[in-house]
Amino acid sequence: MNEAADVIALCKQHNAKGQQQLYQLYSRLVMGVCVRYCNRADAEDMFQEVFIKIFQNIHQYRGDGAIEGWIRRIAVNACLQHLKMNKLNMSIDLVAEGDVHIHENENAVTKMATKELVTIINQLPVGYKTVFNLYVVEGFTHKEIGEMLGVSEGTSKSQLYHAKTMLKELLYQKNIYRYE
Amino acid sequence: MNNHKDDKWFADLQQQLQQFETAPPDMAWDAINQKLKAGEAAKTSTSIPSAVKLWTGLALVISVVIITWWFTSNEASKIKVAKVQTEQKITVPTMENKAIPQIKSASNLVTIQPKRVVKISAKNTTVTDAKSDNKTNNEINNVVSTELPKSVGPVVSSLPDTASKAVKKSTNFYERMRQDSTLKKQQLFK
Repeated sequence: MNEAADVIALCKQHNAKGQQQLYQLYSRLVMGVCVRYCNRADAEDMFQEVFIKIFQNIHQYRGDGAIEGWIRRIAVNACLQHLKMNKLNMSIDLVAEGDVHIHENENAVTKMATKELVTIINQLPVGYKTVFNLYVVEGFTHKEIGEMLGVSEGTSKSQLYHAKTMLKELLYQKNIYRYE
Repeated sequence: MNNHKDDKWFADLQQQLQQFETAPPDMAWDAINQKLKAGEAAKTSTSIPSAVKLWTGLALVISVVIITWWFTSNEASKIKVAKVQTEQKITVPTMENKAIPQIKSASNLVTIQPKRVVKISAKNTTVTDAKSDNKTNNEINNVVSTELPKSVGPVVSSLPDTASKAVKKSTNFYERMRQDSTLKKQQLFK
């Protein structure tokens, strides 16, 4: 923690060595976020953009929360901005959300490599994938997601429902997911 | 933040995906470092000292004031010219305005036939006498029996050249008519 604080202090002084150290500490985390939201080529572009934003705005980080969370938030926002700029269709027909009961083999999913899981999630349509990531991974509410993406709360719920259904299907096809 | 505790599958998935990290592309740091340096360089080159900003602002304000003043004064002079031109246009004498009332007010009345149009202006003068061929004897007599009053002379001479010529031309026309009429009368009563 002290190491991170020192590095942040150096970055606030625009110290190149400090910037490189921060990069080394969090580059894998940032790349992980970018890969979950964008395809590989876009993720690489976003990765650079995120780090430039981090260094340009590091003075705004007051140390209230963990630096990981602050960096993750910047990465997520940058990816969402990218999706919006590319006008990726985030809206689908609103489908009444039913109770989703997933009686899956939990161990089967958790045992699988995260990288493979991310690859499967990336096969989801952009809207589904984005809402799934924001809700399941980042932990935002549907209201927050609606505000972030400029869609209604109902649309966010609907997209999550479809994302879960499709993800189950994809996992089933790969014999990772089994109905009990 | 929502709570997924009741959904263990998603809770595990959340943890698993949150911890997901992957290696960035090679040479990514070099590219970021280059962009950062370029950004810093641009910042340095574009940063202007506050004194320069102040003087530039002041100069801008002065120029705006000067331009506004110049523009306003120029507009005012244009308006003056326009006014003068309008007045000049109004005061140009025409035959209709000046000569005809003089003729009408003369003691020995000149009867100008209503169908005859004598239009005289400073620029253009037209004398139309389309019905002259169909005149009755009475009409001709009316014209012939009248004489231009003496007071018309000075009025005509004081008119502009074109107007004066037109009036003279018109007077000659009446004179010719009178002579023709006299001739016709002589022929009739022979």
